[in-house]
Amino acid sequence: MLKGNLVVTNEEGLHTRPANRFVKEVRKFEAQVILKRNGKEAPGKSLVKLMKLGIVQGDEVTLICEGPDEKEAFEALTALLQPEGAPQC
Amino acid sequence: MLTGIPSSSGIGAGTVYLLHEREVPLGRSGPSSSRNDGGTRSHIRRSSESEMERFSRGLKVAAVYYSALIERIREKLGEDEAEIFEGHLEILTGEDMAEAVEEAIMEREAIAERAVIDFVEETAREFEELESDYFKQRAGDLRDIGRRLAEAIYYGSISDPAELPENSVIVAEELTPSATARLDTEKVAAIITEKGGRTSHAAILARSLSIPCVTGVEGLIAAVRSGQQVLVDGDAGTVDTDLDHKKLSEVRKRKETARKEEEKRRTWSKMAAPELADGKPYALMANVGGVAEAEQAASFGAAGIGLFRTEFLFMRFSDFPGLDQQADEYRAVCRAMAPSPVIVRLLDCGADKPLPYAPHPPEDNPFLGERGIRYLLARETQLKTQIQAIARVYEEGHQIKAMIPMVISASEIDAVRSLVPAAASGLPVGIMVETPASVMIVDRLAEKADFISIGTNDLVQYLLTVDRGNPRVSAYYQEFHPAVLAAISRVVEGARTAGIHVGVCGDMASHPDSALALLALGVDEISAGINAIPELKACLAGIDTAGLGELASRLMGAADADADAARMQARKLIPGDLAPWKVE
Repeated sequence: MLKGNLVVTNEEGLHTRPANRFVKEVRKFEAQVILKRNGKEAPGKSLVKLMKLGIVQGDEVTLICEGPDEKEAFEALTALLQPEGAPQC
Repeated sequence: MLTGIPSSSGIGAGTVYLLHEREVPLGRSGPSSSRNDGGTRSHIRRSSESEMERFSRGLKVAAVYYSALIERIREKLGEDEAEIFEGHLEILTGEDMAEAVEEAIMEREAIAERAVIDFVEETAREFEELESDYFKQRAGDLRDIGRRLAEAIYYGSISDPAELPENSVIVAEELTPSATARLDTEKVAAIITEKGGRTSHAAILARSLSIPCVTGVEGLIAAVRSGQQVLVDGDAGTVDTDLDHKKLSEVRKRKETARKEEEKRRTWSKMAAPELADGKPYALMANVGGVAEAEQAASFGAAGIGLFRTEFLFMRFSDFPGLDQQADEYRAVCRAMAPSPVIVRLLDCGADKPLPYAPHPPEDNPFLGERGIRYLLARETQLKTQIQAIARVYEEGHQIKAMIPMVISASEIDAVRSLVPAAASGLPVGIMVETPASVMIVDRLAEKADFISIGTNDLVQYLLTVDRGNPRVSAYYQEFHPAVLAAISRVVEGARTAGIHVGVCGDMASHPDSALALLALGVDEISAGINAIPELKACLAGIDTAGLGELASRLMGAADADADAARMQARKLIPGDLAPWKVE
């Protein structure tokens, strides 16, 4: 299992458009994906539940991936949440 | 005559097309299943299995409908908007909807429509609880999606106003995002809604497509009927329902004549060289609020955009637009004007013009409050995003410049420059001179700025301490006041010493007499409202360099005299015929 905390730098947070991209990306992998924010969690393949986390730019989230391709999934999803790499601080 | 909130300007006349939601009963069975029963109307309560079947049939209909809608939106409104509706399709077909509906049908014995509406309503309420305004507003999207699906289940189809007659005036209680997106806008003469306001989805779309729109018209639905002829005035916010054929054909004829006239005026303006009578060129640019206006400016033969007001871009979104969204808009404006330059003014908002999604605490004196660059420096993330978006378009090779509003000290220029990425260090950063402080220290500011543009509207207000919106003092608002002329002259001098360009983008640049005065005082560029461009070109084509020189000395000599006398000096020069395009 891969688990990491990261700050969402995507300027749209998880608005409809980026959240839909996130779901599409999750579907490419076998790994189970869970995203957490503020004590609430959502399965990575549910757009409605992801949006209900209300994630905006600057929020800290926990990304959990578990499965044979968890490493690839974790990297691809991190790139969506942080399109310009991790913040330098 | 009905009245509402003016939401998109222009006049539209046409036939009322009532866009109403098809009613979906939530407590009994619907026609699509009776049809499947072989047309019998009487039947017993259907089983949970058959409700599940109705749900999946409706879902298929809705999914096909949304897929076609997405393609249409992609073509009409672009990829960004299309992707949002792809998200709506995902919500429709996603597992959350399926699970919740199955539970309601199997365990609560709900009919399929009720199960769908209950799910979206519950989810919409949860969205409304979220902190971010963006997510709160998605509640409306959820309800829209649910209503479409319920309609598909009950009727076996989704009503589609794609087949609009020409010249339709769309009348609705409220326009949902999906209803707005699927309108065949080519055939829409105007949009009127009973609810909503200037920031509703319909109003925003209407503005971007230049369709006249009035929102918040109380009693609208009760007052009009389908097929009726109405006249909509998007500037006055009125709907005239008392129209006979004569009145209507008069309006149509007037519109047609105006359109032809406009065409001639535009062609003349595009062809007319920006030169004085003796061949000396001058720079006449345009003030715009977005891509559509930039295209118009180009068609009027403007030599660039002297002021791109980014407030309108920010008002179009339901949250601060991101880097990509901004860069797309700036790039599109640059492309519309290429190869001429585009000056992007950094977001200039404050208590007097707040953004709908960023509530501004009330201030006793909004004009002396947190506005312009002060507002941005207090929200550095937003400032940084905007500068990065401009820088990106600059790096791509476009002729783009950034302009800082409401500057009072050189440190503000430094603060903005420090945010320009190293790769775009050549990006020209200029200032708007509109405060008395910036006039007084213009020499110091000019050393740090790449160009100056004088914003005369605010400058005149601040110099003369006159609120021009206040009728009791508006007579004191004098563009030709000696203090104003002296200030402009001082700024021109400061820019010249520093070797940079100085332009004017306020109202003074849009009227022939004051525009002449500006050029006489040595301003390099004037940037006017798009509609003023043809008259200005006609005016300047009749004046030579010597005439401007003479006007300059008279204006400066008139420094003790009153403002009216000074304006008369300029007015004397204006040629009699300011509409040469009317001559064949």
